[in-house]
Amino acid sequence: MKYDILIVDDEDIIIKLVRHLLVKSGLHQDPKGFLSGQDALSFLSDQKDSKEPQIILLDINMPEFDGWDFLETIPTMDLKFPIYVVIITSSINKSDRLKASQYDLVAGYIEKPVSMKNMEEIKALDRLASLFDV
Amino acid sequence: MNEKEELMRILVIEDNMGDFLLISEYLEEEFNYLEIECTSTCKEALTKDTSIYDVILLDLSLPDKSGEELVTEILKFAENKPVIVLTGYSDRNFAIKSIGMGTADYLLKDELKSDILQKSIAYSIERKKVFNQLEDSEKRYRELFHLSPLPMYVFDKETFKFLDVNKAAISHYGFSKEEFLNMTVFDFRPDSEKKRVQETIAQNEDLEGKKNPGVFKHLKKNGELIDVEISYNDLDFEGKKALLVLANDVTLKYQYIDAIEKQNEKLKEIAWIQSHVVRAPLARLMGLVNLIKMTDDNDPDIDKNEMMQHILNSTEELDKIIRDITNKTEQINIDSLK
Repeated sequence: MKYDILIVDDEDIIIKLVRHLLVKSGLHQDPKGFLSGQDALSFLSDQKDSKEPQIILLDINMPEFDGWDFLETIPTMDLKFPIYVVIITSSINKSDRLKASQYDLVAGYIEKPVSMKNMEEIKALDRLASLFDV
Repeated sequence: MNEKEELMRILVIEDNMGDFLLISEYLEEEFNYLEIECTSTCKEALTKDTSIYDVILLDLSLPDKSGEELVTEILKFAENKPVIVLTGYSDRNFAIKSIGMGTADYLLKDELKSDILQKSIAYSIERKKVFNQLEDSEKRYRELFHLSPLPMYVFDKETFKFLDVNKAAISHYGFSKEEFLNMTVFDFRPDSEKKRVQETIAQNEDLEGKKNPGVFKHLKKNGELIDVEISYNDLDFEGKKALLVLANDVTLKYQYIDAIEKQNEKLKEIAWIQSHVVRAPLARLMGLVNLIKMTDDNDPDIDKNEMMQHILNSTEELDKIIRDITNKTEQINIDSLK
């Protein structure tokens, strides 16, 4: 099935790193990077006619508009396509993991640093399994 | 009877020798071991050491003193020893009154017989013993109140006026006892607490036993505001409905708790920095090293110089954060809060 992958992280180098891993792992050939949640949201709202599912790899700790704000905003946007969020955060707090699990949008939770092993974890996520079936 | 076997020491204060001889005869009939001493004036009586006597027999009219004045004087002198009044018919009414003043009994000389005298002495001694024990125990309880190291006071439940305060309260609050006794319990509180006091008393009205309504604000005489942990009990004080209150100053304790809570906030802040701020550059470093390790030297997508620069930036960022944490930690100084 066709799907897009968006990487949302305020650090350019992390986007580069994650994109590299996504390509190498074969998860996606051309993932899109966004340095802020707002940029990613405006991209999503431009896709109104699209039916393609969007996988969003979302950082939590970002200045001004953080990952939680992003998660709160998505449901208010009336998007026609399915959205799956995988949190990628440097936080190792249990409370953040618990908070993330309370959002329906969140399909997975990864603690940085990101490595190839995490790409395999994304492939194995139950909610995303149908997207990766060839 | 037992008392007949024990030595009985009696002081007879009597100016009439005839009466004294009669009394002595009666006493000798009843007590096997007896020491009688006689004085004929009040003045002479007062030179005696009361502690050696078991009982004092007192004639109501002596040459140097009589009546109420005499009884008052002798009772003061007798301390905890029973005083039995001996009198004629003419003084009967006053003799009855003397019981109210504290004498143990009165006997009419014209009706005096050995057995009546013996019984009166035996009863008086026993009654006085019980009375003394009661007085001792009351004294002990009063001391418990007055010598308690914790401030305590008693106040009238209706008028809220202080009825008694202990030494610790006087020294802690700075008001004298006289000042306290002219104040109500509202006078040593900030206005904001007055309503709370009345409400607390009303709410606990039906509760039995000790009540612990929590911490209240009190004002010392010098205007210092203190936090006191209150516990109180209902008390019947000289016929008035009163409350006995123990006020434990916890101001310092509260200041410490407050200081500790502030420190906890700082520690939480540090913990948050550890988990979020420190970990961000660290995770980035780890990711970058990982990336360099997995890419070929000639991979066109990866610029090794750029990677190195990012690694350097991350280490510098980490260094700065750790310095910040050290500064924050140094701000936490428990001793400075004392």
